[in-house]
Amino acid sequence: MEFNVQSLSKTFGEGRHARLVLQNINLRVRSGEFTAIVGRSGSGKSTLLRCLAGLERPSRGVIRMDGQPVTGPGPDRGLVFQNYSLYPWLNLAQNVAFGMELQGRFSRRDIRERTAYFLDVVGLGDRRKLLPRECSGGMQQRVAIARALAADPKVLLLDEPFGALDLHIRATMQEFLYRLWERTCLTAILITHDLEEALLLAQQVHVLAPNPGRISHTLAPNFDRQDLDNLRFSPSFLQQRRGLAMAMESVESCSDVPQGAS
Amino acid sequence: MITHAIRRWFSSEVLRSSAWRLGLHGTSLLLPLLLWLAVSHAQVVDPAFLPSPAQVIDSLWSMASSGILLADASASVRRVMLGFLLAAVVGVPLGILMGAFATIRALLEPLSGFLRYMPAAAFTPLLIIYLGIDEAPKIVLIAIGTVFFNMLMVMDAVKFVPRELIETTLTLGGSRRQVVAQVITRYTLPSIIDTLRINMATSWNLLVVAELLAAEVGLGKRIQLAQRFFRTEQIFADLLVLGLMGFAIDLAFRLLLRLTCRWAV
Repeated sequence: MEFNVQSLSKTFGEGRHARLVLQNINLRVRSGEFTAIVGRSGSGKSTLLRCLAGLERPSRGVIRMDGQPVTGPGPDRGLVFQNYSLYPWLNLAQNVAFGMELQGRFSRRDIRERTAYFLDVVGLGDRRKLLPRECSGGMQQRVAIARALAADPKVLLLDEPFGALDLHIRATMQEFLYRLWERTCLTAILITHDLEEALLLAQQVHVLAPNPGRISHTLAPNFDRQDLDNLRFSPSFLQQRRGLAMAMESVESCSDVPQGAS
Repeated sequence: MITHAIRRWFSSEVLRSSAWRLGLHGTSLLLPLLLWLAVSHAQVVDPAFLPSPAQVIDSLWSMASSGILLADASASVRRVMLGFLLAAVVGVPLGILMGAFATIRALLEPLSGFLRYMPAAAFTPLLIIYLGIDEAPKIVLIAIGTVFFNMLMVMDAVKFVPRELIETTLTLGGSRRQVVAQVITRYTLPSIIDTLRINMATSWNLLVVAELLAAEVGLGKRIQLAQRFFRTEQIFADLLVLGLMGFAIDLAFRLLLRLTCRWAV
């Protein structure tokens, strides 16, 4: 599998009100890679993910999945939002099964087995009958991830999946996502504003600078990720994080300068 | 202190205790009844204008035992139900489509917003010309008076479906058709039931108007006849029956909501 973004630009509005949100984005994600795109709010990172998901159409450039241009949303690109995305009338198991039922290419038996399997994977096998509103935010996000995976996507797109969670639950969920990625042959693209999260989880980190959104840095952090909790506070990690933060700052202060009437 | 008190007044917290709530509900119904008893007993109003509760119950009993009440009530319920069903079958799907698709909304919203302000009762003469004097014009009148409210209220409810839910469905492999049928409709079901419950009252209101056109039986018709013979106790009795039936249907809708949409209540 290869997910390829070539010179993607996105403009919102037309004529005098046109606003360039993304400029000349190039990305390549291959099977089994964990990629993070990190940027502040307003850097266009969510717009980029929505383009990848097929929910927004790029103004210029192409997105290809295994050579085929992406023209709209599809089950080959699973998506996890920050919140509000579980079906409130379905219990957890039914939520996980829903995508497979929509697609109509799974047998009853497959649906049952895959639902049970992915609920187990996210550690909620014994909570299958609960309604979303009876679950914590962390549990809901785990179900959203299980549901996306059960629909058998080639790549999982995560839009600030832990942004609405409490700090300590966020750390648990980061650990969970990382181990899930290790265990399964997951290909993931994570959007986040949290530098720590990006460096901690991804093999490939792209920094999105704002106004207009463009990739300013790309790095491939290479840490020993046996113990994520300690890694967060290890000197080499903190140093890299600080370096990246400063680099981001310098890029952003440049782009604060008005660019005329473009 | 003040903010605390305000919060108490405006929140339903005060009604936590069910005894207190039942007490208020009882008062809401019993107080007017007691007042009525007192006023009619004191004979401050001519009994010809304000019959006593006993007279009304007598009248109710005699209408019930002669079979008139059942005939009237069943004729009226049938009209309301058919008109209401027609308005639901047409209005709810159109409302969902208007909410889901901007093109359909642009096509139908101005028209329904405009027609909604034409009083349904004013269609009566036309309906008689077009449909005769049978049941058809009565049922259609009730339907016309209800359908536009259904459309616009359901359309509004669709606006509250979270965008994330629709987009998630698309990325899970759902088609637009599946989004409308299995996500938007399902998510708005509680609002649809509530819309129907609220607009049921509109259908009942129109019933009496509908029965003013040549009806043989019906509660509205009976009230009209009673007025001709100055039988105020019969008017009271029929009003009571109308109110009770409406109230029972309202409760039935609330029950339906609880049974089908446990996740939303």
